[in-house]
Amino acid sequence: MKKILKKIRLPIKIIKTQIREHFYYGFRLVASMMTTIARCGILLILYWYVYRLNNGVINGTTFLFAAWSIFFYFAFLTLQLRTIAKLIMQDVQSGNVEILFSKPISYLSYRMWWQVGSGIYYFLVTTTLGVIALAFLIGFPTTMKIGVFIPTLILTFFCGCILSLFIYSIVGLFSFWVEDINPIYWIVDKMIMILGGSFLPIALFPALMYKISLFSPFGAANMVTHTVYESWRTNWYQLVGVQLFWIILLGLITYFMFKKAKEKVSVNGG
Amino acid sequence: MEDKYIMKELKFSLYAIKKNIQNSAELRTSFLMNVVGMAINNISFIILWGFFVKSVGIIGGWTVADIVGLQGFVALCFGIVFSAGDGIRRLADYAASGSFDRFMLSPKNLLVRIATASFGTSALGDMVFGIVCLVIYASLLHASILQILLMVLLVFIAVVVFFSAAVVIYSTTFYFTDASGTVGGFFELFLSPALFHGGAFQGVMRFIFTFLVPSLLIGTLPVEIVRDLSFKKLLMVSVLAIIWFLLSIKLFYRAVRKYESTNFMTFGN
Amino acid sequence: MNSNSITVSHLTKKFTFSAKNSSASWLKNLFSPETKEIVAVNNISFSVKSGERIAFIGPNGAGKSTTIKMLTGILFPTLGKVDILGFDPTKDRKKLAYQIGTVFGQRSQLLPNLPLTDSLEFFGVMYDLSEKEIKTRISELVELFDLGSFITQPVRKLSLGQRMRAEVAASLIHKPKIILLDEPTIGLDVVAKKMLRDLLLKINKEEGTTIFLTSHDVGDIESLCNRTIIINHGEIIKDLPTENLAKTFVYEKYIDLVAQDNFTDFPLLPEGISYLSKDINKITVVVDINKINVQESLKKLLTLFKVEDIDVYNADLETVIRHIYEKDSQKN
Repeated sequence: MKKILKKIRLPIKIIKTQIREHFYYGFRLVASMMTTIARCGILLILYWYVYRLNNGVINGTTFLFAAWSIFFYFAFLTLQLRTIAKLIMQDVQSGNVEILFSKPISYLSYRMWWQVGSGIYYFLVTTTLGVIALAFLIGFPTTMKIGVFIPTLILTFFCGCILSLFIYSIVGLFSFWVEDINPIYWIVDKMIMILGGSFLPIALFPALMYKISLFSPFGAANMVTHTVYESWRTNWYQLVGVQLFWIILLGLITYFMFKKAKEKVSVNGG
Repeated sequence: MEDKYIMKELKFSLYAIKKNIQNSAELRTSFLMNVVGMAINNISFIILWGFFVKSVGIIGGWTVADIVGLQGFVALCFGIVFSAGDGIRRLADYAASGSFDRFMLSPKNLLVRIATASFGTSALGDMVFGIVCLVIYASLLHASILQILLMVLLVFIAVVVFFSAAVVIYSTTFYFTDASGTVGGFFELFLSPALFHGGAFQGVMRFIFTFLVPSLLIGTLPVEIVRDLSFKKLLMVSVLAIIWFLLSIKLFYRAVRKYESTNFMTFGN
Repeated sequence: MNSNSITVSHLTKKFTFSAKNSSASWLKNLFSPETKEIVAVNNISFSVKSGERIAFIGPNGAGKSTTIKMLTGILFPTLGKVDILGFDPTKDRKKLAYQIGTVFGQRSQLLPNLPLTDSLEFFGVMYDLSEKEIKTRISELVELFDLGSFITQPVRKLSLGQRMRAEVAASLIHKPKIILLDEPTIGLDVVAKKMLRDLLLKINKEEGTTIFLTSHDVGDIESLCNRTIIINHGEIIKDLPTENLAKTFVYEKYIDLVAQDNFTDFPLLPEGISYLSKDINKITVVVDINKINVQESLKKLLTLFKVEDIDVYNADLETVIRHIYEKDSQKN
């Protein structure tokens, strides 16, 4: 027990420190929150108009489901987990990686906790406000009222976080070999954007694209967007299973890649 | 005398851009990867909105061809402004690191100096993508000579609007500490609606994103002007472009007075 | 009883990189580039006792930073071994990290947007100190480094001198046995430099911390370090007590001659004496006392020049070090 407490002490400290920084620069946080709410809001208004033109139903779903699905995508985005790729790249390019390598920590897990810490407060506040606003404006779909919804949402959320961190860490670790990982980052990020149900909710996906979204790691990273639909009630365990499969596979890739990367370190200096 | 000064500034800007391109092109593989990667990145928006039209049908008279035209205009604006003028979007980093000082000390026009301080290699991919999209759009539209000329004119106007909006947004850097995340978010608020299906913007939303946030001026309205040969909209867009340009210069120089220099040291956390 | 805290044996580090061949095609350069190898550190060996204060110096590109990075486990050696306090940095990097502190002059490890106290607490937790230990240690460091006047300010608002004191304080939060400093006084004014050096001497004396320093500042070397290791082209060229370093060129004497009126003529000098600088008001000569002694050289110089004043002195440490670098470069 003592060992576990010792191990989580630093991650907790990292998260606390990051949250403290948010309070210190409150206006920065408010500005970022307003931006996210606005972006999501614009999209929801557009879809509300589009659904109205189509008599409220498109592809067998209503605006209610599409709205919550899009909201979940943007809420997940506020965690900013994808920024870990660019942080790793910056560390390597600037040589700042040497500061962290000289500390008694695992560089990669430190970076992951740092990333979680930098987004968690923003995520909690934005999500809470968003849920209240949506509940007030459009109400909850029936799926969200069933008993299994909350526990499976939490489970798939955590799996999505871990998977996102692995995917973007792998992208970031490429910077130990490749000078500029931005092209790789863009391609991966767009795959997640398309298959995760961002600007186009998954309910409007063509059949093939829907299948790819379900079984690819890019779609699995944003599985939270699937939780609002009727099919979640019966299929949740399959979808969580897909997430777990990718977590194990990409976790192994991350581990071995990081091991190789440590040997590849070549820091500027004389 | 004024003309000579302007010519000198222009000459230096072109020289700075040339040097930046040479600097970027030295890393040849990275250069190409950036260009190709960005083009692939942009195709995703066409895929997304293409599937949208397939599922939802025609909204506001907008077809898949119009989506291609929209992406073309926006990508080309983005590419032109952020290739030669990539320094604008690095403003937050320059301010945070204190290296903004060197721009303040430069004997050149401050805004031009900052804009041309860096060359955005990836934005070349946007330019190539934008041009290809517009060519495809023109052929899908069976565009007349007039429509093609309008497209060229509208690219110019849209670039002015895009540049002005970027200057206004990135100038807010000086009002925040460690602003790059926040200001990046503001920019997304401008850019994202510009990439959305134009036909879905009606009523209040269209008003807001035409007159308050100029997102529709760089893509949606140019497409509608070319498609419908609407000279009324052309006049409106031109006037708004001039207003935004003048506003951006004024706001930029006001914001610069807020700059607080800091000691240079990289932070590694 | 003193024991070795650092032992380096036959340490070598080679870097390979792709080099563009201007005569080959772009395609060949992309898929099958030429590779070049640089030997940054070449078969160096040395040991450092507990409590020593070492200056590890050399010209730019000599291999100093590469060596330090191998000592801390950041870089993996190509050949050779490193033992620090019984740990192999390549295998026990994390365990070793608990025992060492690092300060990089041009890179900050502090949290830029928060007050200094937050950074110190943060590192306290990172090094597994208890809450009580953290509180106690912070009070000690605040007093020792005189941080009280700015401890509540965000780090990015501190002056460079304040920030460097804070950096060193943060690197000592866990009472490391060894502190490695890479150009810690760069950019500091003379007062700030002296303050930092005195603080380092104090922690070395009171806590027995071994100091391993790289610096281009001769003042750092002279005032702080009792031993100097000089590296150039990846090899150790000198390893001796700092006080003996000054005596390396003891066979050279410098004589300044101040003119009574103006020096109009600069005749050929006797063997063993050479001009260092010539001016109508002042001449500086270098005397090789292996060839001619000081008395003899003064006699001869006074017959050649009408002087108002004479000054005879040894080479300063900066000149000595420069000579060492130059002589070694000529050999290579």
